[in-house]
Amino acid sequence: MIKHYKKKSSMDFFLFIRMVISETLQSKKNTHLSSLVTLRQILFTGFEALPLIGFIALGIGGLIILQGYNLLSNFGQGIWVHVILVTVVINELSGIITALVVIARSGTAISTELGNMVVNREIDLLNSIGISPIAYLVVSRMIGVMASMLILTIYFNLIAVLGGWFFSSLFHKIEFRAFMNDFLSVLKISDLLMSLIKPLFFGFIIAIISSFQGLSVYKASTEVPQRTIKAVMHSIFLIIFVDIGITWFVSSLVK
Amino acid sequence: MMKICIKNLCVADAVCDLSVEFEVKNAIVLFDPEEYRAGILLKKLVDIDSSMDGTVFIDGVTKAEYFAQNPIASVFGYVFDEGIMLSNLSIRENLMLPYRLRWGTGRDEEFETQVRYWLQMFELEMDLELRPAFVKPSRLKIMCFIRSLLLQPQVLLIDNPYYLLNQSERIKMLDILQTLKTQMKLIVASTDLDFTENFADTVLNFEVNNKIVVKSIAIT
Repeated sequence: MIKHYKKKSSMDFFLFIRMVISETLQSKKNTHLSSLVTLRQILFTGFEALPLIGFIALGIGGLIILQGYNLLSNFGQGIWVHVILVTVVINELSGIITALVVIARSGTAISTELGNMVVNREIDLLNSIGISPIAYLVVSRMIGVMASMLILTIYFNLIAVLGGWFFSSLFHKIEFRAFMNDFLSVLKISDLLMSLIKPLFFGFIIAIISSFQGLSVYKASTEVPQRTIKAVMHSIFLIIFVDIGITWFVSSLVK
Repeated sequence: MMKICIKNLCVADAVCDLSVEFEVKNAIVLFDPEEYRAGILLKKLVDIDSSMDGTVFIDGVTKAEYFAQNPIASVFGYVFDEGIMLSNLSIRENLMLPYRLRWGTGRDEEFETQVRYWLQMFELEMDLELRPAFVKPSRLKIMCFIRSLLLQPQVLLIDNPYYLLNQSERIKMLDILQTLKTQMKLIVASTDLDFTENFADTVLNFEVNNKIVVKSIAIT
């Protein structure tokens, strides 16, 4: 486990990731222990976030269509609004906004919960009865957050596209079929692929960083909010970097 | 007979370079008026404080090698000084989790029977569906004790058995420990001289600095 009396280094973080991956590969033997935690995590991170994600997606989809249509129709290029919808929402915004919502709701919750478990000696308890805290708490949360991120991002995309059509039809009388035909004509396989890969990476990053920060609390409850703040900051930074990396990688593959 | 050897145990400035070797037989009391060092020794055996340095050998092999062959839950049952439980699970789930890990699933009926037996032994009435936050600390401590007993480990490690208990609960605890002493091996960390005198077969005395005085009879 992590040596608590030493200041955490990035090496500790990489060792932590290695432990999590190693425990994930052996998770078959711990299934009966961690499946309940995974389901609870999906319920909290995924299901309970649906209304908020839906509201944001509806707003973002509608606003992009409205602003884009107003701007582009001045140049007689209204059709390109679907390209903007695909490029901005499907490729970038859906993943990032969903990730920010998940960080705000679940990243902070994971970090706080694990930090409090350290302070309340619940991690010691798991160790004393031979249950690996990584397998029981971290792996299950990681799987839960990754699955939730994927579901929420797909849900965000669907609502954003439907919201785009809804708002554009309010002002410009566009047929749903015509709207979808235009939308699908600009949607590429690489866009779909990217919108499925990114949330998995983002979910992994959020769960790992939040768990690492939570388990890095030593003994004082005052450390818990400090670690939570770090979890949020580091998650956002890393997600932006990874987002740029994936976009660059997929773009270079497509070209 | 299990032989435990702890070498060069260090914890920040509280304990430095503590080494001890003993055979586990019947009831051993680690008597430490300052409480901390004896407790640390028990924690080191189950590896629950990662800030400790030092090596533990069990029957001549390192603890990691020993636990690779024998699951920790079958070797040591650790009873915390406080009633530590997972706060998001009910008392029943808290007892069930290690029980299933130790014995596998499909023994729920036996689990219920054993829990009832131990609750009777402690003369305790308890709603097992409650979350730990709603249970009195002394009762929680007894439930933690029961959780360890359900695992039927080779050695029961008990940190400060009287802590949090009132006078009548202490008497009950001593009665049960006296009974258990004949059935299994116990290592108990205690600050209480009366308890140590009444209960121990062997005493590891931490009174003088870190030097451990081993006595095979009760302290006088």
